[in-house]
Amino acid sequence: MIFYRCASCSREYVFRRSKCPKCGSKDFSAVEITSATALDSVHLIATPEPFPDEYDVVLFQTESGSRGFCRATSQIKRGDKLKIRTDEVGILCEHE
Amino acid sequence: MVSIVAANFAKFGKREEDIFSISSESAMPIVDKFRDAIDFVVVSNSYSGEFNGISGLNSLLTTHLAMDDLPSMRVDNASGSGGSAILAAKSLVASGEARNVLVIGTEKMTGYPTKKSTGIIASLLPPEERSGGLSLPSLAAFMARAYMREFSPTRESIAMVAVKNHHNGAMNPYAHFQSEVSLEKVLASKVIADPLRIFEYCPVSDGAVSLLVSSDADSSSLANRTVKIAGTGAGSGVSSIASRESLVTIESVKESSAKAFRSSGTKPDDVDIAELHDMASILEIVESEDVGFFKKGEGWKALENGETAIGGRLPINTSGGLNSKGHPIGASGVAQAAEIYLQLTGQAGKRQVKNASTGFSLSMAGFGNNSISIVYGVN
Ligand SMILES: [Zn+2]
Repeated sequence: MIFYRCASCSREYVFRRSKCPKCGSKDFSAVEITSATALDSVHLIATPEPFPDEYDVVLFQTESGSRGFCRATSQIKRGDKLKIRTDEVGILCEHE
Repeated sequence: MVSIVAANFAKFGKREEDIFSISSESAMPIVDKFRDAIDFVVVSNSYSGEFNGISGLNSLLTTHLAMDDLPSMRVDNASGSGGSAILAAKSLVASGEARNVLVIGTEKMTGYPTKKSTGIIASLLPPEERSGGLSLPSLAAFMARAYMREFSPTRESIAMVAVKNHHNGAMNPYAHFQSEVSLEKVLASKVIADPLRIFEYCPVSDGAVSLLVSSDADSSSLANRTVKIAGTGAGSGVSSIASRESLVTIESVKESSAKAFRSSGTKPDDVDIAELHDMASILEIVESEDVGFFKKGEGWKALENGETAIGGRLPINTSGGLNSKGHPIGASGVAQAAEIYLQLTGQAGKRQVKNASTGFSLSMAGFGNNSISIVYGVN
């Protein structure tokens, strides 16, 4: 998955912006995220389209301190190290 | 000053009728009585495109109501649409653009599998977060887990939001759910997003509610009992949940509420009744703190002590809240104002709070992406 890093102040954003809210720069570089640590996970039974019927949603933090969400293929606990990748419906994570 | 002169509900729940009939059921008694005075229509609705395949709902609705001659607009601010619609109506009146605004909050959402409606509502999340499989209910579960880690509430106190609001909803003839639920039943019910259970979430509902919002010059001649909009405040925060500093506080709620108290010259202690945005049980607790009713981390104690029940120091969600009354998204914020109107004019029936003179409502878009707070007083 991609994070957007401000070319001027290096702050990272999980979602794309036209302008950095901190420094005003309009230049961003795409940073590929492949690993992270789980901050928390929620076992979700009532899932939204187009996702499968039951999974853990994980709030993760990257080494640089940026946070995002992924869908887990197995049970994830707070503090677990994760590998992050994407499949046809979204962002997936699994134990490293 | 701007006042609410009339309010009328169509019953919330699973309705067979289409969005025009439900909207008309709520609006027609007001239209019949005040047709000559109404000079603008504001329709609060968020999902007529997605759920009903309808765009330009406001004009179609004024035509349906035989008010084709009146200017209208549709206000969409996701689950905060109702608060925004009242803010728009108040501003139209205060600016002199209109004198008597009919506000119709309406949504027709049932008839789809839960997975589809959950997906439609999740479309308000940033696409990059939505692709992580996130839904609004799952965000409430993250909030509950963070709140439990940080403040060690009893699990029961969180579930008591559902017990209290079902109790109140059972006394509200317009509520989706008309029955009480025990604490044991809430805690034994199906998990939706761990740790929160099905009774702790609002249902998917259809429903409509209408208000007449009038200028001072008009309100006293239109009705004997009116409720003034004493102050309003709008606040906003980042839409990205992962980017927020804290999961146990909602910045937009703090901001909108502080503004509403400032503009009305009141403080949280002055409030006698409040309607909060309890899409999930934990949200009522967190919001009750962020509005300023309770200290951060102590809202759950108020539930346990019965302070927020009818008969307590500050009854919250006397209508049953979103939790029991239902959450037809565009209608919800308007319904909050309608409940405060009924309470402050002594028309709330079995759930009437005695001697209430100051009301408060919090309408919230998404997971606090933005919020609208309103303080009400008696005229
Ligand atoms: Zn920057």
